[in-house]
Amino acid sequence: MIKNALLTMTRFHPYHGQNIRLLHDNMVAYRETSFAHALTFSEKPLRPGEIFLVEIEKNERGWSGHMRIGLTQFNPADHFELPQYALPDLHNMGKSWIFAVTKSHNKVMLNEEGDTDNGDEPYQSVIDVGSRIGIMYKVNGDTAEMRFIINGEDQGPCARYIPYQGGNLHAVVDVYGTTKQVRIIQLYGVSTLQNACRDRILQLTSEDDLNKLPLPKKLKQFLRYELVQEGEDVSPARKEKIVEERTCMKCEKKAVLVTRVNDAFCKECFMVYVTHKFRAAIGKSKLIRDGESVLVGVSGGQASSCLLHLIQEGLSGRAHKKLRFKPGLVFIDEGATIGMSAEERLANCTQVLEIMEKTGFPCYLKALEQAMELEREAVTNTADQTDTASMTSVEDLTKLHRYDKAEEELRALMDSLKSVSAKEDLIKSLRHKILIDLALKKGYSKVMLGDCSTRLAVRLLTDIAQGRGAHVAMDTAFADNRCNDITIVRPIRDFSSKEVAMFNILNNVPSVFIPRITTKVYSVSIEHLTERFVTGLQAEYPSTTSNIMRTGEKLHTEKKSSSENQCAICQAPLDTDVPSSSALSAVRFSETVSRCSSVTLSIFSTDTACDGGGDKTCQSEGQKESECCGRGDGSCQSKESKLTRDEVESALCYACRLLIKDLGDVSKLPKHILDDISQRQRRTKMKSEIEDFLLDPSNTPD
Amino acid sequence: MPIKCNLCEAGAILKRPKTGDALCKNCFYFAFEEEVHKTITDANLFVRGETVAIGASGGKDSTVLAYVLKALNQRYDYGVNLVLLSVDEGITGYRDDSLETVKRNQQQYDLPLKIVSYEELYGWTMDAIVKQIGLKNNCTFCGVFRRQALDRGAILMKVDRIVTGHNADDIAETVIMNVLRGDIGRLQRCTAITTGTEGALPRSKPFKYTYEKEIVMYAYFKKLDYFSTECIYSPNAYRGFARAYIKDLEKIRPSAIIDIIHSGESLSVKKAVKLPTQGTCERCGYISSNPLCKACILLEGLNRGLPRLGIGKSHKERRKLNEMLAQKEEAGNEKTTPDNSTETTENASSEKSATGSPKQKCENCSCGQKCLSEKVEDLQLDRRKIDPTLIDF
Repeated sequence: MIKNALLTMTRFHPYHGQNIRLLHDNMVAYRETSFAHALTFSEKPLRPGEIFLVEIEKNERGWSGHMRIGLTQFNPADHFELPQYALPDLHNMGKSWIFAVTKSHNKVMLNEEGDTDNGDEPYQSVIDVGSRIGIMYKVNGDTAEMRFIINGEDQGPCARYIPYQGGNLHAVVDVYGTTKQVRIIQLYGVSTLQNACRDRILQLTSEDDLNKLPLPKKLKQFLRYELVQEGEDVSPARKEKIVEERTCMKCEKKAVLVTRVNDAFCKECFMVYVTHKFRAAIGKSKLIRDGESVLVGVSGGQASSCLLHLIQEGLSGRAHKKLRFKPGLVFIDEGATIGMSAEERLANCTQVLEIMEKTGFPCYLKALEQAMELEREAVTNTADQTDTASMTSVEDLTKLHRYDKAEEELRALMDSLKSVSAKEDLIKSLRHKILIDLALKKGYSKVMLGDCSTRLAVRLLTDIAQGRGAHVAMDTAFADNRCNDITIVRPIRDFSSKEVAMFNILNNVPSVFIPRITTKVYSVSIEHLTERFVTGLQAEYPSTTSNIMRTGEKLHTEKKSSSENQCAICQAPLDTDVPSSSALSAVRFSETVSRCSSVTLSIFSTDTACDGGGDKTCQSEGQKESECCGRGDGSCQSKESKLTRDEVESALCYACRLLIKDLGDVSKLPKHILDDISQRQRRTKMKSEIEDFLLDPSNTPD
Repeated sequence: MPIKCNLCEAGAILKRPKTGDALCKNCFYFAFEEEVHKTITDANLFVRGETVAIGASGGKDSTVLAYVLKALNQRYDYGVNLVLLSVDEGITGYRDDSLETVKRNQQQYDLPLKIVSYEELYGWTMDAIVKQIGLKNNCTFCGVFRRQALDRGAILMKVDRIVTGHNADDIAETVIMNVLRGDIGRLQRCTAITTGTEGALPRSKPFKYTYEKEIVMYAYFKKLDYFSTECIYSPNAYRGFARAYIKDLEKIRPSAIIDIIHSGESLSVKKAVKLPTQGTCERCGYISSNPLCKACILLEGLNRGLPRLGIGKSHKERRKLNEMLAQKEEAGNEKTTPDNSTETTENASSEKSATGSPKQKCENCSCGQKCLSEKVEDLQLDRRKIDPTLIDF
């Protein structure tokens, strides 16, 4: 079959979008204007295994989105009415499998040496001029799978179960957005002797040597694909990469790295710069007192490893001015959330533990599932001293095994959350809860986290996208004081992830890569999507992160005094007390108006009230309540059973309500959260009973 | 098995993008209109007896807005007079076509229509501006000018309020944009349903909580006549990023658009942060947070043949102007620059008489006269970069 293809050149079909002009014997498609109406097809249907390869020849700034490519069973020869775009229009017409080529699709190293020291972007993006994008399909039984080949690399199947027998598959290219002109790269046919010669010459001669060939100018132009055809512009020269020798901005020595465009540093000056930034951040805040115990959260990742190294350095005798707090380290194993086996988890724990133990600080090991039984531990006050300063890792494993039941609960909770975004959000809250809880029990008054500015910029935007606008400031500020007794501090929040990475490389700081819930999935959580968005933008607009952080700096979160005004899950102040003209009431109204026509408003709430059994929420901790609610003594005798979804929702902030919406069964939530909520319920009830006798109803004892 | 409508017995024909509920055509209309009605009543957008101008571009949002407002005004008796107001940017092949749609709408909905054009207001069509500035930053001009043009048209029509078709997607996008740009003042303002309450004409967005997709659905099923083509000049690239991000978010979690608006509404700004105070432009009297409004600066740049004056880092352009003026002085120093607009010359002369020392040389641009530059220097055109030696104009 391929033999057939060998006989002819691959061309674009003469029927195409109205803005397309075909050049070079229909082998180049050029979009004359606009960004749409630029569909083109392969002249002939593709055969199985045949690669349809195009090279981006021109881009045009100012549009968003790039070329789209794929397969379709519509035959251009039928002159069917062409839609404006391949995505979503043509795709929606059916029988088409089309994907957008995105910047982050795949990055190809240009610089073989992997020279990370120069600040120039060492990558070529897929959507740049010169990039080659191919499409093909492979038959697999009755169906076929479509594959992308980007700059020589097979990307694996991206669409499966294509009923290839249902009709001929034409390649379709939408010369969309920034992509302005594409050329078909001939892989199979040789149209002319001239072209064959060119291919051969280009194989043997490097592009730079072409000029030296004893050939007429026109031929040389032809060799460089520059021969100008009627009405066609000469394709722009490819961007040369300029690598210049730079000197350190401080000491004029040879620079080894560039932090921002104009800031080149030698190693020594960079170290001084980083250390100073870290110490200045701590000093300026005036939050950490001499001799204070500080719990440092270590994830094993780049940023927290960097933080750990900085702390160690600052505490060591060598330091110019010694830091004077007492750190303790904690690692939280989240393996349960992605169903890791006990062995894998042990391996991860051992690795991180090794790093932590080397520092000589007290170390703690926690598992995320412990969050499921936090209150229970507090009651019995079990000596779960996972103080591993003197503990071998085998014993840790047995410790971890103790949480089998909790692990099951956690997994059940994770499974009942439908979206990855919600899972991620909940993990964050649970992790937070464990940190605070451990700090409280072990007498730490601060928790230090290794959040760098890139991370926080992503979090800020994620927060906004999840409706946490009110909590942005808390989530990204230097100090987070949502919990009354423990303050969370972020001393490296001014470091970009680039600085962190360079610091770690130059100091040989070890870090451990541990897969997380979003590691293997492609952009399905809001945070993951936001991260791609921010890093993508950062590559083009280097001030992105700092701009976002600057916005965050100007915001603040109003702290409410009463704990009843805090969200039961994320502990942030509730943001659900809104005027009638607001997003929240608009959402509520939308739900009402399209679910409960006019009569049956109550159907919805009873319908979805939790039906999960076995919830012993209020039984075990009946006596314990008084501790948390302050003066609620003797009020907790009401041992009513389950909480309804509405009751749970009332104790949550806007964003955590979204999370709960995703949850099939509210009774799966960790005990401490449910306890907290039911206790609030009782107190509200109590209050309403005695309300008539209160002189100032707004004056609550809390 | 056909899916039943959530509310009645009819077969559902669509899934609401906002809530995910399956609805039939009529129930969707009902829900859509009720929501707009609720937005209007909750925010007290309309006062009986007022005249309300609908900013009509001919696109889907404003077409649906005009249709729905007319229907609601009859159904719930708001008692407002609705009029259509369009701006003609002067973009051949785009706006002239869409204005045809507006004209048809005028007849279909039987509402009075007023069209104001850039040409009559500023003396420049967008086509002419693009010829000057090229395809980069042209959207800045269009955006700045349109805002004012709408207000001026509204004043001509003696209306009390303007409503625009901005939908929830647009607002979410703006929130993200302002976060990315670090523009705290706009970030705070952009989620307000009504802006410009003090002084200027109030502007409201009744579609603030309405999804773009639902507007399209509404227009589609009602077979409303609207114009759908992108502007022939490049779209705003940076906004495109934010737009793509919002669309991706919506795919993951459809409520994300409203969630972002909620975020925007619940943001609170530190008290210590200085926000730009809104005043009025010294030259045209339009609302502005700088002494001279952006439109006047852009216009000045156009008239002076330095179209980039109000764009990006202005000091470079000012330096260029500086040099240009210096050369002119060498050539023959008595004349003012020939390409000055009459307005500038007037201003310059009024400045002259005000200071009472016409012969005094301008220290900043050495143009041989007391020129506008000093005035501008006092006003500090660019809030971020204040370098007196370079400020000029």
